[in-house]
Amino acid sequence: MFGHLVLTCVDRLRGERTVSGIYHLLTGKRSSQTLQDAKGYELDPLFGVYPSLKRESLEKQINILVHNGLIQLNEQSFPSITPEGTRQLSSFPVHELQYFEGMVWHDVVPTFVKRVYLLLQAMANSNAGIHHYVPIVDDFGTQNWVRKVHQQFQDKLPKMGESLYEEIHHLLKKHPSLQAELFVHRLTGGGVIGMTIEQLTREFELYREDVEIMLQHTYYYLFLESKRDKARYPVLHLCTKGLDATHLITKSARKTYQYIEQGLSMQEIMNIRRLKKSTIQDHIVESALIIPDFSIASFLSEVDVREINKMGNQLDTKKLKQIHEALDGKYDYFELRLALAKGQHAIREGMTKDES
Amino acid sequence: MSHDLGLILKENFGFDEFREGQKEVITDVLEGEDVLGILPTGTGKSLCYQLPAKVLGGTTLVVSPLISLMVDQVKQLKASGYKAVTAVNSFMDQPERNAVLKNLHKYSLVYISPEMLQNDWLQQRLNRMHVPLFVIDEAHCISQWGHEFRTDYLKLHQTIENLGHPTVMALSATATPDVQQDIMEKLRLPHMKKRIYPMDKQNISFAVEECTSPEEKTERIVEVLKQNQAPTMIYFSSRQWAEKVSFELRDRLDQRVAFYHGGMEQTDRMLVQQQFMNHQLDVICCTSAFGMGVDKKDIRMVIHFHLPPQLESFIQEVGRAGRDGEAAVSLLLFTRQDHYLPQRLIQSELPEKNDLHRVFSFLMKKQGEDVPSDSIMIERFELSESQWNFIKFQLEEEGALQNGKLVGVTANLFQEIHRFLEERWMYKHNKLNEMLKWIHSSDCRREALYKPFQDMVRKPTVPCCDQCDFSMDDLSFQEERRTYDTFSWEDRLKFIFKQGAGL
Repeated sequence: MFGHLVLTCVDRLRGERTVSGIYHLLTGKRSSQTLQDAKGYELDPLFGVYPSLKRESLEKQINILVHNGLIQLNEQSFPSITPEGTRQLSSFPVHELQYFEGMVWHDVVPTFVKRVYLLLQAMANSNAGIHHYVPIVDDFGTQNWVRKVHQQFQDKLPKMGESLYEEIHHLLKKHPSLQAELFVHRLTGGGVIGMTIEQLTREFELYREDVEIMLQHTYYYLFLESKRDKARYPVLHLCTKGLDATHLITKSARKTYQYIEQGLSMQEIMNIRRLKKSTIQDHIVESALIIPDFSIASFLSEVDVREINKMGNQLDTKKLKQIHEALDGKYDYFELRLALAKGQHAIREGMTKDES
Repeated sequence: MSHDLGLILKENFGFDEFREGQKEVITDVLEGEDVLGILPTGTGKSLCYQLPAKVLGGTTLVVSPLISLMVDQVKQLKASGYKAVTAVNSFMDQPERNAVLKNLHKYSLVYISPEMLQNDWLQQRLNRMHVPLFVIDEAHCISQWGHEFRTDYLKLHQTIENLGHPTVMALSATATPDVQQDIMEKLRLPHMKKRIYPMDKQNISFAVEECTSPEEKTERIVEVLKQNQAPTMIYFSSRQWAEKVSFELRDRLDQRVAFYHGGMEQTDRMLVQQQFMNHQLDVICCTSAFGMGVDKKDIRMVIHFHLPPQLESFIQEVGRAGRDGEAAVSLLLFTRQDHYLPQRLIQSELPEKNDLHRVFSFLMKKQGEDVPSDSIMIERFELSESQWNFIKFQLEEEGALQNGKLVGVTANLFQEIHRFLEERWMYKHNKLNEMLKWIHSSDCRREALYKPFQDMVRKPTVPCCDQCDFSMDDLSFQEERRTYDTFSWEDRLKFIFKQGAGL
């Protein structure tokens, strides 16, 4: 399962990024490089879906894939997919990992999960007449949230407990059964204590990474389904309340963005914020990536943007160095990144496609 | 003041009667007397301040050495319905800490680490609150002769003074007469009332067995657990061994085995503890990180796979068995090579002469400057955290380090600290030797174990020890077990929600 995920990344990155790039992507590193990769290579669904991933685990997985002939490493140890890898990728049952929408939701899914775990424990325990227990989620915010739900719905709680059971049961019935097993065995409530990740790996004879990825996937599944259908999944939907899509922009970049909107030049922003030029440039690229109508006209003309993207498409690469050389060094790297970031939105909106 | 303590106990804690020592200690503090209570593990030490906290009003402060222990205790108290309790520690996130500090005076019981108490802002906050009772848990940490000397504990007398001398309660489960004396001296309270209770466990049988290798130990444990089915804890001195043996036991036994150590994630640690409490596990392979604050009454066997570094730890760990008063067993396994392990532990705690010398040469050149940060010193001299803490505290204590500035690091001082260091080494080695002596003793194990701590060792209610009339091979615990772990997800979900007929 984890292997498939990594294989997907290698495939999309087309041998143009290192293993570190994959690591940053899956763990959701907020750097403009990673954000740009995620968008550029259409890996944004997988951005930040595995925050607890350990670097060694990824390295190990890469080695296994190499060993099995599914990927290969070039001289600079950039991984790329082999024909056998492509074949394997296409035979994978897609629905088993289709619910990831990391770029949009990775920031709030953990909160959703904590709410579900704790609310479920509270409801199941009260069903079972257990009134004194150690809360399974040790998090101030979540405990407060559950307390508030309790106060707000006091007399409806038994009914809600029943509904929560029905909702989870109904959703898991339509979900791969192994993932359902893992999720339910992790739950605590009604006099049963959930299993640790390590116990799950033993019980179901799986690798740790597969257990974690399948749980993550189930979390996204429950989150997305219940978020979009309040009538059908009222209690789970309640757990998604107030959790909105993230506009993935760092606080610092937002500030730079605001200054630019106010018409300040790059130099002025550098002076005010006492930041290096390269940092401000990162912010600008980040803003261009995230905010579709951010105008970059003061840095790069429409014509330039088009030329750079055209070259990128011709060479069929996102590698800055190649584009830089092909354009005889006419643009610096900042301009290239900015143009590609902007071009990304254009592609999404279907504007420049026929130009390539 | 007179209170119907029995009634308060029943109404607030649900117990019908006090356990040995509780009522005496409680009465003392309610009458405003400073008290030193030595109560054995498993007798409900914490009730000794929880009840007065209710009666006295205001905020009772409890100084506790381990954050994990504090957090566990707070969780348990809350779970049992005692809500006005919190722990202030450095691991809280900002919103939580702000919320807690703002309302600090509303809590009846506040657990706090000795380091936190040094925070100026917090001290000022405390000075404006009503603190009628100041509790020092694990008070042996005050004494350099106690088995877990903690330098921050030495500053407590100052805090007590700053607070205008609230009633003081110092509690410990293991403190020899020397340590008791030292606690009172370091707190500068020479007239504390002493309440000392015997710590020997009359319902525990002791056995010590020599093996030739770790593999043989594992074999022996398999043998014992094949013959006995009951809640069991196995103590290890390292995380790796706890994991390794737990895997092997899981493969070879029809019992539910898990490991537990400080290197696990918070959630997983809690799950394993709760599973054990909830009878979903039979055997826990753990390090000394487990057990603090876990109050499982029906543990039948405590097995030591490695030697603890001193008798005090051993007594505490063994004391987790048989808290329900029913028969229980302690089995210690050792090989001839084993005493090197605790020796290495001691080495990681205390700096060697060489290290001390290098650090001094470096600091002597920095006279008048700020002392470099902890992480820099630790990295530069390849010290462990506790090694550097030891040196730093000695410098502060001798006035050579004031407000982070180095003011008097001299060759003389080096000699002095070095002398003290040697004493500590000696002390730790003696402790280890006591432990070794005990395992090789051919006298009654119970006598030999408890005699240093109390005048008279009581007669056991179970077979005594393998030197007297007890044999491991006669042992046969057979308990029924409940199981939840073999259901399909649908059955399990139903069971959790108590849907349908249940299972």
